[in-house]
Amino acid sequence: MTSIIGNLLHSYNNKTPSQYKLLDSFLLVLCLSAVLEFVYALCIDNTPYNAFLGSFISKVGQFILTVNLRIQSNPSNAHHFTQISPERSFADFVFASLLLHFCAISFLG
Amino acid sequence: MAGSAANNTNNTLKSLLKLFTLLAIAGAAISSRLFSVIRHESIIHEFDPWFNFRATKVLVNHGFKHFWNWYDNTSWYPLGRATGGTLYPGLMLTSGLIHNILHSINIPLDIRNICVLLAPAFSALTAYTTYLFTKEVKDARAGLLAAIFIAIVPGYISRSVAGSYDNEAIAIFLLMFTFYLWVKSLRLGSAFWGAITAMSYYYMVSAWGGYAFIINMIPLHAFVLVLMGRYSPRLYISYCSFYTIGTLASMQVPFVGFNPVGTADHMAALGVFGLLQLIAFSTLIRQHLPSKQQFDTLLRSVLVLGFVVGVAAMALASHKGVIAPWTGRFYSLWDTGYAKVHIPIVASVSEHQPTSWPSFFFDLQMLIYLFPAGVFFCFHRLSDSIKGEASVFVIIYAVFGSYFASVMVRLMLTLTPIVCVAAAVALSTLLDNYIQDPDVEGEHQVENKETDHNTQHNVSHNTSQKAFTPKNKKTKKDTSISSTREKVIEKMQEKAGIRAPDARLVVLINVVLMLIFFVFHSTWVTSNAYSSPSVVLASKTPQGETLYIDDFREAYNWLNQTTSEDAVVGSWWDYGYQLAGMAGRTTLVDNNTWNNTHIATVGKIMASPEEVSYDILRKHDVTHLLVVFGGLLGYSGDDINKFLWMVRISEGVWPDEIHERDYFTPRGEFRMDEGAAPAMKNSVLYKMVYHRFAELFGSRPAVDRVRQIQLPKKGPQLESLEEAFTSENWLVRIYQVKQPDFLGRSFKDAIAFEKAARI
Repeated sequence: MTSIIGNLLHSYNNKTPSQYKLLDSFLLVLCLSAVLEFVYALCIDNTPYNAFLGSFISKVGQFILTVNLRIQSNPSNAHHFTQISPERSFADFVFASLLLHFCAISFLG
Repeated sequence: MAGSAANNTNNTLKSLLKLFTLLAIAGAAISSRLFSVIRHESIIHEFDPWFNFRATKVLVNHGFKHFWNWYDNTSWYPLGRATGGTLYPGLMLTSGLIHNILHSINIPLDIRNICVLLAPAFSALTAYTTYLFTKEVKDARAGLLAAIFIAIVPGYISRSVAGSYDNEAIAIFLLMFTFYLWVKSLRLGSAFWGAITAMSYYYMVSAWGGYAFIINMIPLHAFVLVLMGRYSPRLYISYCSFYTIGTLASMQVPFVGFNPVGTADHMAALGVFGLLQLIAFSTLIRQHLPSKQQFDTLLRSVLVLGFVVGVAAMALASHKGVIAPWTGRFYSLWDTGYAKVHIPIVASVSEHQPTSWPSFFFDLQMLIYLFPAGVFFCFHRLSDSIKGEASVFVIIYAVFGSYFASVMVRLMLTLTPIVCVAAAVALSTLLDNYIQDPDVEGEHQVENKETDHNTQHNVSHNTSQKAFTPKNKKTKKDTSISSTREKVIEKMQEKAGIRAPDARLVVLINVVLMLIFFVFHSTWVTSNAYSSPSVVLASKTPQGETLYIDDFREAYNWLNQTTSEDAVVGSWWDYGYQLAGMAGRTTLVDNNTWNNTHIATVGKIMASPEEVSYDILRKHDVTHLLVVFGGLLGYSGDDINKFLWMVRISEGVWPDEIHERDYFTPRGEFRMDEGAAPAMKNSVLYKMVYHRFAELFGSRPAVDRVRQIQLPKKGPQLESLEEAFTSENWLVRIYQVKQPDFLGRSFKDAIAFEKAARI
C-alpha cells in the first residue's frame, strides 16, 4: 500500500504541469480550511448555524468548481466536452463562483 | 451550393412551422382552461387558492417586507399563524411581480384577474418546456407531440384551470424546466448550466413542497448512471455544481430552513454527492498509477471504505437524531397504512386516497397505454452516447412516478408530464416509420445491408484491425454481386407488405383518429369534471336550464356584512380558507392547520353534547358556528358525511371522552334517523344540521336526500346556540353562540322559564 502511495506522489510531482499544481494547492487549502471549520463546529460551537452552513458550503462549492475548471481545461478530456472550450470553461467557472458566493453571502444573514 | 441553399430554405421553413405549431399549442393550452371563466365569472376556485389569494393581496397592498414578516392573527385563533415563514412564497411572489410590472407599464390589471389567469399562462410555458425536454430525449418531432399532449391532458388541467390559484400552477412548469435544464447540463457538461439548473431548482423550492421529488430524482439518476458504468466528467460537473449551489440557495426559503442538511428526504442527494467525489478522486489518481492492477486495488479499497464510512456515519447521525427521519407525509407514501393509524388528518384528505384504475384512463386516455411503449423505446436508445442519459432519466422518472401516482390520487399530477413525454416518444417512433417515403427508406436500407454484410465478412475473416480503410476497399470490391442481389430482393418487397402505401395510409389514418378522440375526450373531461369552481355549484332544472347554487357566497357575504369585525367563526377545517378569504373573519382552523390538537378541539365541539361544547366554545371566544348540510340539495360533500373523521381525530386526542363506537347503533350501523345512537342524536353537529329541517316538509316526513333516510317529525332542539342564518338551499347554516344567561341560569332553565311565561 505504501509503495502505491509513494509511486503516486512521485508520478504526480513529475507529470503535473505547474498551473495544475497551483490549482491543486488552492484545492488543498480549501479542503484543510473546511475540515478545520467542520471540526470546530462539531466540537466547540456551531451557532449561528446558518453562518456555519453558508461558509462551509461555499468552500465545498468553490472546491468543486475549481475541480471542474481543472478537468475541463485538460486537453486530454476534450472528447468528453465537445461544446465547451477551455475558455468557455473558465467563463463558466467565474459565473458559477459568483453565483455561489452571492447565495452564500445572502445566507449569512 | 444549390443543395445548401435548398437546405437553408428547408430549415427556415421547418423552424417557421415549429414556431407556429408551438404558438398554436400554447393557444390550445390557454383556451381549454377557460371554461369556468366563460361560464361563470373570474373567481378563485376551491379552498386552498383562497389563502394564496389573500396572501397575494397582502403582498401587493402592503409590500414585500410586510409580506415576508406577516403574522396573521385572524387564522388559527387564538394562536395565530406566522404565515411569512410557513408558506411557499413562490406563487405569491410571481403574481406580485407580474402585477407590479404590468402596473409600471400602465396596464392596470386587477390582482384577482392576474391570480385567476396565472395558471393557464404558465401551462403554455409548461407545454414549451416539455417540448424542449422531449427534444433532448428524442427529437423535435416527439417534442411537438409531447407539447400538445401536456397542453390538453386532463391530468394536468385538473390543477391548472383558470381560477385554480394553487402552488401546482407554477410548480409543474418549474418541475419540467428544472428537469430539462438538468438533462441539458448533463449533455453539455457545463458548470454554467448546472448553476442555472440550481437557480431553477431554487425557484421550485420556493413554490411547492413537492420539490423533494426533484432532489431525489436527480441524485437517483446520477447514481444509476454510475452503476451503469456511464460515469463521466460531465456527470461530475453538472451534478456537483447543481447540488452545492442548489442546496445553498434552497435554504434561503424560510419554510425549508435547514431541512436540506438535516432531514432524511435530502440525504440521498448528499450520499450521491459523496460518491461522485470518491469516483472523481479515483479517476484522477488513475492517471498517475503505472499499472492497472494497483489502480484497481486502490479504487476498490477507497470505494468500499468510503461507502462503509458514509453509511455508518448516516446511520449514527439518524440514530442520534441529528438527521430527522422521513416526515409523516412522505413516509405514508412508502407505508400506506401508516397515516390512517398515526396521522388521521393526512389520511382523511380525499386527495390522499389510493388511485383507482378508471381514474388513470379518465385523466390520461390513450396516453396511458402508449406510456409503457414509450418507456420500451427509451430502452432502445440507451446505447446512444448523447441522448442515452436522457432516456435513463425518463425510465427512472416513469417507474417512480407510476408508483407514487398509484399510491395517492394527488400525485397523478407528477406522473402526467412523463406520461406525455413517453407517449410522445412512442407515437413519434411509430409515425417515423410510416410517414417516410419507402423509396428513400429503401436506399438507406440497401446501404445499411451492405455495411452489415461487409462487417460480417470482416469478422469471419478474423481481421484483428477494425480500421476503416480495409472496409472501404472491401466495399468497392464485392459491391457488385451481393448488392444487386439485395436490390432485387428490395424491389420485390418494396411495394408490398407493410411498407406499401395503402398499409401506411391505414396506420396513419388510425393514428389521426386516435389523436382526434384524445382531443375530444380531454375537452369533454375538462368541461364537465374539472371546470367547476366548487364555490358555485351548477345543476339543471327539470326544464333544462342551468341553475346556479350560490349558497356559499351568500353565507360568506352575510357573515361579512352582518357580523362584527372581531367575530370568531368555528367550522370544520375545509372551509377555513374560504371563510377567511370571502368573509374576512377570524377562523379557528383552516386547510393548513397541522396542529392536530386544534383540529381535534373543533371535532370535539362538533361531536360532543351541548354542555361540553359550550364550555369549549366560550374558552375559544367563538361567536358563530358554520356547518354545511347537503340534505335538501343532495350535495354529498357535507359535514355529516365528514362526521366520522371528526370523531376519529378528536378520539385520538381525548380517547376517554369520545368513542367512535358510541356513534353507531348497538347493531353496528351508522344511522341518522329515528334509530340513531343517543350520542349521535345529542351531538352538536346533528342538532345544528337537522334543526327545523322537518318544518320544510309540512305534513310529510322529512327526507334527507344524501343519506336517503326519513327523519322524525320533531327535530332536535338547541339550547346554547341559536340559528342566525340559513342559505337559500339550506346548504350553509350559521349559528350564533348565546351569551351566558344574564341571571346565571342554565340554558335549559332559561328556555323553560320563557316557555312557561308565554303560556
